[in-house]
Amino acid sequence: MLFSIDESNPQPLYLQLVMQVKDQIRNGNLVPGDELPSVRELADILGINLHTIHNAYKKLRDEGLITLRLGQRAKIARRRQQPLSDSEIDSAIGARLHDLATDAYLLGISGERLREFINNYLEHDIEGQPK
Amino acid sequence: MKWKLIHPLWTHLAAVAAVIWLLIRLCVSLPLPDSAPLHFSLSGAPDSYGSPWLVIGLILILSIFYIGISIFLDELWARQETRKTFNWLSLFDDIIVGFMVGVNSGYLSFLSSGSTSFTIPWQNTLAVTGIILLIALILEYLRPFKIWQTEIIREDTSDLENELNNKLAVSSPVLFWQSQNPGYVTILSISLSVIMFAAAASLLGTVIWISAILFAVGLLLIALYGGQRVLVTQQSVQVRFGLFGIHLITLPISEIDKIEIHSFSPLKDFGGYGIRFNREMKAFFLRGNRGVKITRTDGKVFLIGSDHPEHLETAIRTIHAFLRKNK
Repeated sequence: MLFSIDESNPQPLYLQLVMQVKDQIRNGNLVPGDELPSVRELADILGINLHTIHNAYKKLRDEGLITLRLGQRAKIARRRQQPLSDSEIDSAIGARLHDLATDAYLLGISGERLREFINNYLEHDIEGQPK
Repeated sequence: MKWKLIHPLWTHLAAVAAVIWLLIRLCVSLPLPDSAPLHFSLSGAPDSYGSPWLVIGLILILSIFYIGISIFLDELWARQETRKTFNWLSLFDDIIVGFMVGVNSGYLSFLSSGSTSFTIPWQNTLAVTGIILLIALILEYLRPFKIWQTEIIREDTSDLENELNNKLAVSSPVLFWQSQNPGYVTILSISLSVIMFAAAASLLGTVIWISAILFAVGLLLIALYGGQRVLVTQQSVQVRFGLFGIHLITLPISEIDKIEIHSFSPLKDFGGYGIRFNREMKAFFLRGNRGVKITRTDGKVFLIGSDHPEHLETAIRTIHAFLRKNK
């Protein structure tokens, strides 16, 4: 798996790591049971603070994407089998959808155009998405 | 790692049939006496008594155990094959089970005869073993050949290559990371070190120097915990091992001449798993039969085992090419 830090990116470092792991789970490069580097290894190579890596792994664990056990490396967790309820979807991505809709409105993108764009994106870009 | 057996289980039918025959022979001999001779001197006179079920049970458990070991060894053999070769290891369980069943059959006859001395019925035992061996030879001869490596699907790594090139272009620090941490390493490192520490503790009051050696061996075994990791950065390819991340090798990217995906036979080419050497190269792998072969500018060759060698090869090749271009 590939890890990288872009210091010019305004996104906090720990969130960059979180998104990289999520991306690699989505595109199939990381599958359940795959191990992640230790906090120390990652911090040494990327030249960032141990706490930053801790925070990233903690967030991934809280979202159920990895498992952290004492004395073992972090591992990619099994994907949840049951579909989320509407309220769970709302609490997971509702706020981000709201921000997206607001930004689109402020940029003058119509609702119709935004829907079309999202549909195109889902059709062409998310091949790792479960059917 | 694929867990589907490619060495067919029916090659063990002769040994299984012998165990079933023993069970039938046992049912015919029932009921067994409550107490009977269990052990005999060289002259055949009994020198120990107990329940005969101890002997029967032990033989049955050992038979199943040896058939299990034989299945494991046969599978190892089959995964090394590049063409059909006669697997002499497949006769391992048939010889042992045949002998045990022959002797045990004689023991059941002894129990029902009321005789006072027991001698191994060599004629019957050799006949039973011979028949089982003959059937096993035929079955092994008939065994179809399957290539394990045909299941390999080359993975598409274009996304990884593009992403790496993008990161390298903006000079972001990158880390490509892979691990091989099979369950057998975890089991061996924990269970053997516990045994060593227990042995060291038991000898602490008597032979201190042996106790110290056992303790040191226990510590070394614990250090194996964690398996093998490969780290690729803009500067080097590193192979680290165990709990403390011991650096087995560090290959600076600038000293790499050639990178290629390599398939190998762990047993035939290297005689096992772990840190291995042969005349051509030094190898590091804990499972599988594929990896990335790296040739250094001084001609030395290294093989790094990988579960996804296409990804590892792409990562090293992309960084290597980028550094050469921007020298």
